[in-house]
Amino acid sequence: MSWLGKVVRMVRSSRRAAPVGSIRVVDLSPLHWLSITYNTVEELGHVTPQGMNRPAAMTSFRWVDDTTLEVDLRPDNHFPEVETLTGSTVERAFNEVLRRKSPHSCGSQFNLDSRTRLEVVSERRFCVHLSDPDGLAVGRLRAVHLDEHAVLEWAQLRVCSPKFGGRGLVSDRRGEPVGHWSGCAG
Amino acid sequence: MLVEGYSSINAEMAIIRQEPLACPWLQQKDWTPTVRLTANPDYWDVARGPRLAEVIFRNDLTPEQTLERICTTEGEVDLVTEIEPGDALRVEKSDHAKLVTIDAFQVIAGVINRESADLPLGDKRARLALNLAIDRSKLVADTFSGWADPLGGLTPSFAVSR
Repeated sequence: MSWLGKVVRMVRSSRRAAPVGSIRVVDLSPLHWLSITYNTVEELGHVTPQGMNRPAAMTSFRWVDDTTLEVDLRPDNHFPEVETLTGSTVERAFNEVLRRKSPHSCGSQFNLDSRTRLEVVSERRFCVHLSDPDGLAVGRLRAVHLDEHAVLEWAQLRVCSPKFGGRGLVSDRRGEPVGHWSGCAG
Repeated sequence: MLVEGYSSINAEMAIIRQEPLACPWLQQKDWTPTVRLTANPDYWDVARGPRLAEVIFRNDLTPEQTLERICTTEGEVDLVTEIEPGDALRVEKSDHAKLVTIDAFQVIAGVINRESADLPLGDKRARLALNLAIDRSKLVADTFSGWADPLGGLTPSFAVSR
């Protein structure tokens, strides 16, 4: 993490109220693993209660042409204790999504066309190369879950280790990471 | 941050035919009895939170056990989602629990097969008669204990374009 990032982190920590309290939840929804996912991993974008896309891990995007989406990442965005979220993080996430036939089986509108390609331009910029114009491309980024490399390795072993802080602990039975990325790989 | 337990699904394709591909997804849950999340106090989006220090998901209770605990005890279950409409009254009468209702994105609709060989459902009048024969108010009262609204189409009344 850069010195600027450390300063920003200190300022944020000093200004925000510390989280408090503990609650016990019984979530009877069959999709509760999905809400856990969305509250433990990061995404490039989120959605407001009004249903509008809002940048999250990304700060901005622009259409270079009809099929090329250029995205800038938030600076000094890091996972707890360990690595910084960079273009490599996004590339890893895209690879996980694209190697599956239907990664979002219960929300297929988030699936990316298998011909989609990612180009990491720099630590904070990447381009998504689409096979065809796609007006929903930015919205689909909401379901590209970003997590650190160590957690994906953990998920392969299916061992719960508090050391890693535990994110993306939604994996399928075969040990493949970040759970609702289901279906056949490759 | 998720520090204990896991919540996963195993999704398998049940292929009906290859061309064109037709398949449902068979999902099987694989959850630990508890899943514990702790706050990441350094998360960049202050507006989003976290505000709670810890959330513990309890996967070790049946819906019946959950309802019993939320209505009759304190400290074992603090939040339950998706209470059945028939159980809502019990929660309302409980001294320990408060019922909170939201607009659900769920619509119950009937689909009529117009191609049915032995029924005159290709006739608009027949479909209209079927439609009018359904007592929506009674359906809401008897099946959903009043916790639903009749619709004229598939769009819920609270869906507003901004």
